[in-house]
Amino acid sequence: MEDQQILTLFREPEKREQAFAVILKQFQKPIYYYIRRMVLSHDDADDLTQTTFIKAWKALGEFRGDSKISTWLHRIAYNESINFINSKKRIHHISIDQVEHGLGKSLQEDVLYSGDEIQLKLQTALALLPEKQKAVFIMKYYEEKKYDEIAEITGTSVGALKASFHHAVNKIESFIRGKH
Amino acid sequence: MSTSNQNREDALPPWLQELKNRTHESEFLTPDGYFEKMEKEVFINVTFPLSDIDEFETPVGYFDDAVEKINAALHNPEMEEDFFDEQKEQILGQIRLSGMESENTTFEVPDGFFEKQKKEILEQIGISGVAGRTIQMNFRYFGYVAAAASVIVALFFFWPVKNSKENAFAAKLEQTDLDVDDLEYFADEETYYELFLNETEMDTLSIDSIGASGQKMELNQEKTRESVKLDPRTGLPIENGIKPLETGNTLTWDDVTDEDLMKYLLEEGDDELIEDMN
Repeated sequence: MEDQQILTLFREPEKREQAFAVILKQFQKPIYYYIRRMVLSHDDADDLTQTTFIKAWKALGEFRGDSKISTWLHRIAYNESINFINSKKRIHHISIDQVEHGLGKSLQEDVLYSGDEIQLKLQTALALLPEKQKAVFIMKYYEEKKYDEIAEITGTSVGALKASFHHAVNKIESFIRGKH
Repeated sequence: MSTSNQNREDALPPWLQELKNRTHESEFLTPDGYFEKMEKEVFINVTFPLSDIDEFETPVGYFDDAVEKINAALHNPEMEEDFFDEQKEQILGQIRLSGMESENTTFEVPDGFFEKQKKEILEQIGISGVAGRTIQMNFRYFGYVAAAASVIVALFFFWPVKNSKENAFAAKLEQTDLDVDDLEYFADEETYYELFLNETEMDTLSIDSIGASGQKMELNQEKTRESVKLDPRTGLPIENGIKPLETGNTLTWDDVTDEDLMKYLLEEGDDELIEDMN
């Protein structure tokens, strides 16, 4: 269903839930996987995805439709993930060494992770990036989004995003090549 | 920008594209039926928000006349009368009981019995002659002695070695401008410690962000005791350890590196500034 159709449906009070059910069905997987790649743990991703959709439900009445629904949902998910990662960092004060060794171990032990060695390396390299670079890389590499859309999601200029992605790619490359 | 340029910019570097081709399937799994379950959970949450659910139910109309009920109870004259009568009885009962316990006993003793008995006991245990002399325990006096002892102990630990060798305790006490009340106050170790810390309070920015790099620290001399040098890392006195920077070497923002600032902000949790710096 097109965005406009969903929003028209939502504006009719008796059809609001039906409209929201469409949104959920259509976007829950991309939003979940975006968040999962950001936070890695399924449980955290589950919580944040639910929070994202509940926030969307509360704010959908005020959504003007200036951007696509998926972009708007991604923006909520992006903010939720960044806040979550920052709060976790503040609590645990994890060092780079701990990320490198701890993450590999916890992903290997995670029954909901099936990555091979190179995927594990890529995840470790991603975990070492600043959150914004990581978010940009995920949206570009995994979700194949255009810079314009990423700029809308992150509220950053396209130029800054290109620089972020460039830095991220260089860091990942040197990490992966350095290890092999 | 032309479409071909746009496509070129959106393209991944060859090595990354190759990596992507090799790992095209997501390595992140979800429990069976997860998305269906999540859909239901989210739906329940938005349709029946938890915040609207109250597990403690009350009868219909319970709160409607609650205010009237409370007011009626508070201004019920019967209740007030009963209350004071009951209270009066309780108080009088206690007075009667305490009277019975002390002087209004039915058991009588001969005149001078207790004095005579005390003398006899003292003679039996061999302290004749001291009967009648009592030692009054002056707690206030005892408190001063204890307080003074505490101050001596505290000064022993906190005073610089050089001074302690040269000066007698009296001289030190004079320098501290302490009076008897202070001594009493200082007898409590915790109070003493708090006072000490208050007196040596320093700029938290310096401690949190730059303290780790050590020598950039500047002590605020006005807030420290002249005769006691303080360790900038602990705030406690040191003998001849780290000295404050010379006047003129005051720390400025130019001396603060991005790393220092980042560390400080991370500790203080200013997300927006941290994001801007990334």
